[in-house]
Amino acid sequence: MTIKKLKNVNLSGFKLLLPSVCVGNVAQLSTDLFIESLKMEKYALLWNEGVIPIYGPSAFTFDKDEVTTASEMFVCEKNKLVILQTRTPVVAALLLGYINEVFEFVQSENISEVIILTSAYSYEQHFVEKSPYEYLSNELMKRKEFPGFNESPADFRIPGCGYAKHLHQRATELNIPSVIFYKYVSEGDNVPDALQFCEKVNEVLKVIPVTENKIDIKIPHSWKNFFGSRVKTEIY
Amino acid sequence: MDFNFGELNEPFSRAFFEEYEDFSVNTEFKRPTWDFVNEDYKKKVSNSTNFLLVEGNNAHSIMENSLLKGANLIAQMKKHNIKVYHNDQFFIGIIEDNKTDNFAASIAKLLSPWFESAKMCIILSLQSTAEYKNDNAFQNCVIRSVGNNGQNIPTLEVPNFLTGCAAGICTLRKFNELQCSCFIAYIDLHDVISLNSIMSLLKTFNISVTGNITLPTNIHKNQFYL
Repeated sequence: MTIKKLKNVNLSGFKLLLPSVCVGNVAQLSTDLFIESLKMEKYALLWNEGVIPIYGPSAFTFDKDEVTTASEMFVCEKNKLVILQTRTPVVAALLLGYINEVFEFVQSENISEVIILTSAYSYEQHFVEKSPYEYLSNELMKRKEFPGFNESPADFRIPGCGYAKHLHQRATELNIPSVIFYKYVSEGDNVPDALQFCEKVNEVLKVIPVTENKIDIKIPHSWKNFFGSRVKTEIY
Repeated sequence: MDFNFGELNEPFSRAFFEEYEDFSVNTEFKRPTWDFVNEDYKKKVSNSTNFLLVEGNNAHSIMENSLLKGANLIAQMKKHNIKVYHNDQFFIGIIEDNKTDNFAASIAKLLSPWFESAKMCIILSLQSTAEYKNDNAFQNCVIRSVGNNGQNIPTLEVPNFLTGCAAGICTLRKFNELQCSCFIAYIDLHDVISLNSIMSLLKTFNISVTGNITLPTNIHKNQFYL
């Protein structure tokens, strides 16, 4: 992986938040909400052979010169938070190389902990009355409880979570504190899931301001027309 | 997913992930390779050369009697329907296959000798109008630019984006802080009017497009079903 830094920021002691490709893209959508709500600045561009490329207009600004690529990093110095937003899947056969390179960056920048967001298939949650929010953390996490999230067993399989467990496993091997937050969801219009998940994760991270019990989440303008253009009435 | 009646909504921007839970650590990634490369091209690559990529369904058949007239084939990858040509002005990459996503980054890297040092890099991606998301009325041919190209072409609106090797090349050019004129043409009917607007776009870069446009014969007549 090649990282092109666009800003000079000392990331020592920062938390890294990254989504895994997952059911309904809930983690990626929630990550978009964090970036937009915190008005995070683009910190770096990433290139890795395993990440399927995309190229388009900026997801967060109306600036014509700004573009969006498949994998980018954003930083919020105030909250000591860095986000690695990956908008496309990673080719499975190249996944290990990708993960190793992510953690080379984590170690070289002295990042303090890794927070992985993902989701799981709702039909796999057999206790329907249980909260759909769960977490899986390693022993190195100083914090042992996360309000609103139930703990999942260490050997638990998270179906539909993409490569989240591979990231978590690698972090544990390298003695880096790591936690996976996930929500059980179904495929469909996952915008409500993303909003709820972002709010829940924010209860732990406390980065997006909350006033009178209302979280100030901002939706990126790029979420328009998610499901294609409106149907043309002329065809009826 | 919220489908509208009659709409073909391919899940190209949704999670089309592979099964990461069960994949073997030893899974081998077979990197694409050129079937044929004319090594003479290396003598011709310089900072003064230009690079043009046309990617999309029927790209080759549309361009073969116009843009590619008189151009020499210098490299080929049969498995992914990729050909690289050279004429007096340009190295021209033609990618027919839109289903190279898993290999897109690798193929973009393989094309880098031609576009990395190119003075001018023009990317044209051809996509179906069914993939164009916007609020406006349906049009047969919509051409949009990505980034500021200094051209009088409207910019692509979110949430649309480029995929495939075209996206890979644009990303690599951006990475190296090099200019890249990137366009996306949503065309449904491969008619003369639509194709002429694409040729007019190429002409704005002083690309000589001579000869006749060939209308592809193997296309679907429309994107709707009843």
